Amino acid sequence: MEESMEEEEWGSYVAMMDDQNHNNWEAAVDGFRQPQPPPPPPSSIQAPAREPPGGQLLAVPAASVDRKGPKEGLSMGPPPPPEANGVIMMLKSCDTAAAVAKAAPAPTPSSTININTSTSKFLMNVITIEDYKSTYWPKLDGAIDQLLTQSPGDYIPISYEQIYSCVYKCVCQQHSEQMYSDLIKKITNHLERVSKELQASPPDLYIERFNIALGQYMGALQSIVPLFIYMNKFYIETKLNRDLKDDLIKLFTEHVAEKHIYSLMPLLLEAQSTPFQVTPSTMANIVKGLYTLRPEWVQMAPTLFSKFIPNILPPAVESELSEYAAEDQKLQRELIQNGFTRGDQSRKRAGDELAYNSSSACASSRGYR
Amino acid sequence: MSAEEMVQIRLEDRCYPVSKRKLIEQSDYFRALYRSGMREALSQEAGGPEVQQLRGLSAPGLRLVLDFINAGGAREGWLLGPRAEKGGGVEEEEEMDEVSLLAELVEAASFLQVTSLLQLLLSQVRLTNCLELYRLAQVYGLPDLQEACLRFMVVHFHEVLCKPQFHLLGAPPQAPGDVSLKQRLREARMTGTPVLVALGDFLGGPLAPHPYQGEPPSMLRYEEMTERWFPLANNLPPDLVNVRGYGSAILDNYLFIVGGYRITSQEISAAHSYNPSTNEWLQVASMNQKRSNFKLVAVNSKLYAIGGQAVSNVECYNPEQDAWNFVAPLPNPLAEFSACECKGKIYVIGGYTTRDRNMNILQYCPSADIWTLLETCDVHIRKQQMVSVEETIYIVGGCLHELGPNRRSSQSEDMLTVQSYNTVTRQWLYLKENTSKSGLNLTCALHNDGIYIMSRDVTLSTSLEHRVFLKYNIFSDSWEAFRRFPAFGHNLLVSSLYLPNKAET
Repeated sequence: MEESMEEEEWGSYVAMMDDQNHNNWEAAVDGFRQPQPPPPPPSSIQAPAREPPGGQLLAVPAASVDRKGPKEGLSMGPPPPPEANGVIMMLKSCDTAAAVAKAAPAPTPSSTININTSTSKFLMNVITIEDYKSTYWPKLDGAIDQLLTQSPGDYIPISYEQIYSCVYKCVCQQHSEQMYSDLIKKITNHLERVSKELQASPPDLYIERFNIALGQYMGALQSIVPLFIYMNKFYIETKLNRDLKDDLIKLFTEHVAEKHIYSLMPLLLEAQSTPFQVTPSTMANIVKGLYTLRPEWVQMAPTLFSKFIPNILPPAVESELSEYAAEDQKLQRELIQNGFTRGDQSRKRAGDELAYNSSSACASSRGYR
Repeated sequence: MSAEEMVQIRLEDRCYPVSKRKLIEQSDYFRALYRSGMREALSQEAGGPEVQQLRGLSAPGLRLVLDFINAGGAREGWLLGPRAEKGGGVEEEEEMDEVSLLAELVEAASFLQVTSLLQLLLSQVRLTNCLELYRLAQVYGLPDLQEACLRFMVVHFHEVLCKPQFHLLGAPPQAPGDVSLKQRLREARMTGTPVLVALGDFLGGPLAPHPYQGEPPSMLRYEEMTERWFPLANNLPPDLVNVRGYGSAILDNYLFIVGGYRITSQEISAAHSYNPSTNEWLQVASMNQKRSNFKLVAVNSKLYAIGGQAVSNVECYNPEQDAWNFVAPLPNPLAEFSACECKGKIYVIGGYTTRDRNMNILQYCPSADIWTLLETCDVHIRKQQMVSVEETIYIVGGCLHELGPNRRSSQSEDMLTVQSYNTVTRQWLYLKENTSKSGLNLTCALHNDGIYIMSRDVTLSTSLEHRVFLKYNIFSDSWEAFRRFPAFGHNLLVSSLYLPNKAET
């Protein structure tokens, strides 16, 4: 019952993804694929290839069935006109493939997929670049849009299995390069928009909005990166020797963080010196985030970064112990001046202590959180 | 730690229970799924799914992968081992079944990214599945597996090459810069360390260079640094022992020993090849014609068995089909002639026809399948050996007999000579002679920068006079003599093979 609500909410997009058989919408695409580059002339290799595969593999839409009609009576009528999906090699079994190979070893397919001897349902249909552009990428595009714009922790109605399968098929059908470039382009565009929105925000909201943008993007990556692990493993890691997550983080650095760091940093420093202007958690998020994006930014405000990230400042030196002590004493004096007591120094039992010192304990805890 | 949390995986109408912990441990798909925060990642109470739905995979493939996961990963002897052990006896149909099951398994393992299972496949590459695994590795983008299959196919090149399915993979280059798989494998076979190898019926005993245990070895390798011969950890196949007058040639770094005669009986047609990559002898298809004292020449990735005792026909062996076929015959049967390959053509020089001396230089063009008379020379030669470098043929040893008015000497049987014949300019050069050695009954091989020469037959009684192991350096036109003769023996053959580098074995 929750499922049906989702489908209403997410409209045809989810409905399209939720079909029982992935091949549904692949086959449906055939309908839109009428204008095709001229198909190769029918040859001996295509005759067995044209046999429609097993019934449950293709839920063929009506339009498609009509076009496939004449094909059944191949031997009876004149040879059917070459049709759009004639190029699809649906080699159902190894035997067919072997027979084809023995009969005609000369005509060799242009891509490894065409010699596929397996019964794989995923690879049954060739995904052309047009298929990819008209069906597969839009599906991914929609999912990425949702992931980029939702808030961290929101319920994600997207099915991992559906999107992963889509990525998987595109990778296996040699569209990794295109898909990777589309993904980078898409996210770059998104980040440029985010950056513009940030530029337009008033100074008093600037830090908070930057924090939200950073958090939202990092949250989205938590989902986007897992969806593309197949492409990452079999294309980005092996062919480009890079990592998708690093690449996507770098995009934020280049298109958002770098553009804002010089206006953000003075505001952060100012906010740091004015208690409670921004919540400490926001401050911590941003500082840690900036450090992740580019560790060198520490140099812009070492003291600020050192508050949130360990080992930023040089390690303590024995010769400066007295100075550290003096600093601590100064801090304690300031605290007392601001109304913080030193806490209880007496040797009372624990229970007594609670009763005795409760008010100051509360005060101090509030001060730190 | 009570009962493990189980996940139901549904494919089509069936559900498969799997331990969630093991699933996350072994499958990158499920690890990422549970981290993604998407619909399927939620627990059932939080609105997550009752089952993890999978689509598009095959049930047998998924079952194998889930068995693997449930078993907690790699186990000894798992999976492909038992089926592959059936070896050559596998029926065609059964092999096809294995092939399609393999495809389903690799697909499921790739989809679910069960890395340890994919890793395990690297050690499961066999002759029965290497082509399929290679194709699958290409489809699913598994470079490690692809490499492992390539390595296997290089090692077992000819066995793989003659499989009918090889044509499916052996697609010609797709881009201009690309080389075909066949070409890649062929080139990869020419790696390793070039080593001189000597075959023969060596005699044991106190005169042998090393005190061998038991039977003396029939295969030796030469270590150039120490100038010593060591036994190869293999011997001639029993049916090649005591075979004389065979033809030998190297094709794709396989040493072929073909035909010949047995002292006790008659001519044979059997063919064997030694594969240094596996250190194994393979029996390949026999010739159609029994022949001995003929020449075996490798040209354009094929072997040609030329002539023989009273035989003029020529057969061609194609490793892709593992079969011999007759091609255009010699104009006449020839005896005591020699032949070699040069620039893609075969040259036949010297010897006798049934009536007379053969003064003709014959050239065979494999693509046209035609023998032509290149020219007639005025020096008669017989029983020589021939090797070629670029367009130059080196004629080593043999018995020279100059006809014509300006004859140098009568017959020069007691001299080892090296001459060259340029197939382009048709120029003869008398390069070098070594009067202390006989030019008859020798075996030679091109190796590094020279021609290594060894006397073929040595009998104990005359061994001191006939022990020859020297090198003709073709660049400096000079002799170099080696002290260490491999062993006393009969029927010597020396050749140069690439042996696997020690680190690789």
